[in-house]
Amino acid sequence: MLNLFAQGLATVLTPQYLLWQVIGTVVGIIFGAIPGLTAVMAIALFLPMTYSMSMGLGISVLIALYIGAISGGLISAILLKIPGTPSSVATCWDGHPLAAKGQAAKALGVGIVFSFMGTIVSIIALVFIAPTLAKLALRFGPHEYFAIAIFSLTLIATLSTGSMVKGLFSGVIGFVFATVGIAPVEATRRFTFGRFELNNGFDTLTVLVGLFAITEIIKVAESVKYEAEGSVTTVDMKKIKGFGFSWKEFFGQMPNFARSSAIGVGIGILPGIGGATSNILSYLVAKKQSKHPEKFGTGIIDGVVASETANNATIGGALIPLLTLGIPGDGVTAIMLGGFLIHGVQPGPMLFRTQADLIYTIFASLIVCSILMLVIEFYGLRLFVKLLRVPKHILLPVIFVLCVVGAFGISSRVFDVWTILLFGVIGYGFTKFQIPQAPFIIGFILGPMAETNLRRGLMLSDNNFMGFITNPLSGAFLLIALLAVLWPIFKSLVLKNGKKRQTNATM
Amino acid sequence: MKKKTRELLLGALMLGIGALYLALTLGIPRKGGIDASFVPFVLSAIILLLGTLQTVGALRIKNEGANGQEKTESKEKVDTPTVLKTIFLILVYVAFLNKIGFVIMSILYLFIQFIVLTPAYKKKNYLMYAIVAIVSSVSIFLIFRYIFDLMLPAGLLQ
Repeated sequence: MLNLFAQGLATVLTPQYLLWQVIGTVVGIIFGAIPGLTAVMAIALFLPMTYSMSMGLGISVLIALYIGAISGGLISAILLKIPGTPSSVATCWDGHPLAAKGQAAKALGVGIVFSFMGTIVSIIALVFIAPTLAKLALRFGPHEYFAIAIFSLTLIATLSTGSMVKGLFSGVIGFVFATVGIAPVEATRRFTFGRFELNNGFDTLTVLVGLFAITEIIKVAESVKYEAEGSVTTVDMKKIKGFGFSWKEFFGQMPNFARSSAIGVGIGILPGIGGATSNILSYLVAKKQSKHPEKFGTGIIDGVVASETANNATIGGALIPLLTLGIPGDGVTAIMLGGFLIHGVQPGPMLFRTQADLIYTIFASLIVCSILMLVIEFYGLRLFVKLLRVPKHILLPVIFVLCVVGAFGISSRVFDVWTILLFGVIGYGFTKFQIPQAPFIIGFILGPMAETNLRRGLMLSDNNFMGFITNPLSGAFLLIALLAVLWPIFKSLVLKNGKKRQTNATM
Repeated sequence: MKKKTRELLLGALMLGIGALYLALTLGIPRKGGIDASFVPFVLSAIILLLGTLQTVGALRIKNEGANGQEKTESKEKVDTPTVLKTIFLILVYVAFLNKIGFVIMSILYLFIQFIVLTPAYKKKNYLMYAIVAIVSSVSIFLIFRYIFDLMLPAGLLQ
């Protein structure tokens, strides 16, 4: 293992890798920092540039973008009081009050250092958990895969929103779009309307770009004309030593750090919830456990530490199911999966056997990119702060053109550009009805996995469904999935009886 | 739109989508037993069930009149003309991408889109818009052509 790791490290430290990882980290931080631009967009726009790169290099760039974007959100959270990405919502709550007190540099320093440390802890968790889980997963058959797909799909649909009906609907519609094209097992053509372009179904990338980028651009058009001009808190970097905080403060945060990393990694592993949840949960837990909860929200570093540690710790956690089972947890990991597939890498347990060198290149790249993020984000702060002033009405149209390039580049046809528009309009419709988008993409990706394994499992047992229930692991996952659907219904019934009307009881 | 109306509309849309998908599923050639139409049948059933739940749930919402929860709904102002102009521009851009070519269409699209999206408090800087549109379109084309091996539609400039 150490040998493979050293090899991986040697690979990612070559000048070509290093250069691209620096570029990836910088672009990632910029996308994270500018509100309205997300990690998904950063990866979607950069993917076409990696088409011609080697597998390892292309994936290292995606990793750099991912780490940079998740961390970059703290800059605008602290300076503008607008989270750059959903992962840094809780960072605003104490980060901005700190900045308002004139301690912006301290807040940024704390945020960046604990982002770095959270990432590293989660990478360690990934390195130790993933290979073991992959060994276990090698024994999985169609029954287990079907059950895990259904389990993940149910979990994201029930957890991601207040309304379970809307969450499930979103997931099922994603599944519906995935049934377009040639069916698994007996290759019947379905829902293609005679168009040969649809034989292979919709490309995951077009769905993601449409749902997450095009939707975002249309949403900006809703409000950009009459928005008030935002103000950016200025940062004085001249008098700052180190990262702007003392060793005493650093060590005082250790219990908070340990707890927040555990929350981040744990949430990351669960399918359906990612950095957007972990930062808020971790902040709330830190507040509850604190000796001085009343100070939270007034500008103390505890809040920044909790939020930024947890959202970055989600990265390593989320990569565990992605690499070992091929199951993405949210939009960002879904597009990472898309990137892997474009480079001919099929995540799953076999990957750890057949391409162990690539796995360790990924691990090494994660560590190198975290270090790059730490250095670049802190010392390049002034540049990133300037970029916050780039007006949206210039930025978003250019990004739209890049989305078009990305979609066109998948297989050099305008047809895919039309599909991103289709999914953009669907995503916009979803926001109008407050339907969450994440279950859609997970349904789109896990749907075919569920269907293929259902059909295979049924063939093994002569069309008898009992096999899925009698298999202990698949039975257990299906039972949890069922409980996840029934629990909110049960809870709402109990609440109604108790006359306690509480909306948004579920997360 | 009031919350109740919106939720009812969604319920109706969900039922409609479920019915449409079911109709399309019936058109799949059957091979007997459990075949390629099995999962689509299950999915249409789930959509119809969810649509029913949504509609029933929406009917139970009490209209709270002018006060109460309606406040949060009216808070979001939507600039519909700008949204429609943007969607129209995007459609025209994509429709002529192949024939006219990436560079020309991108320059035109960007220039007009900048103007459409310019915030009310800002002056429209046509010269700057033109420069940004031309420089970004041309450089994207050249970068993808020569560094990333991706030939974007050249159209008229062939």
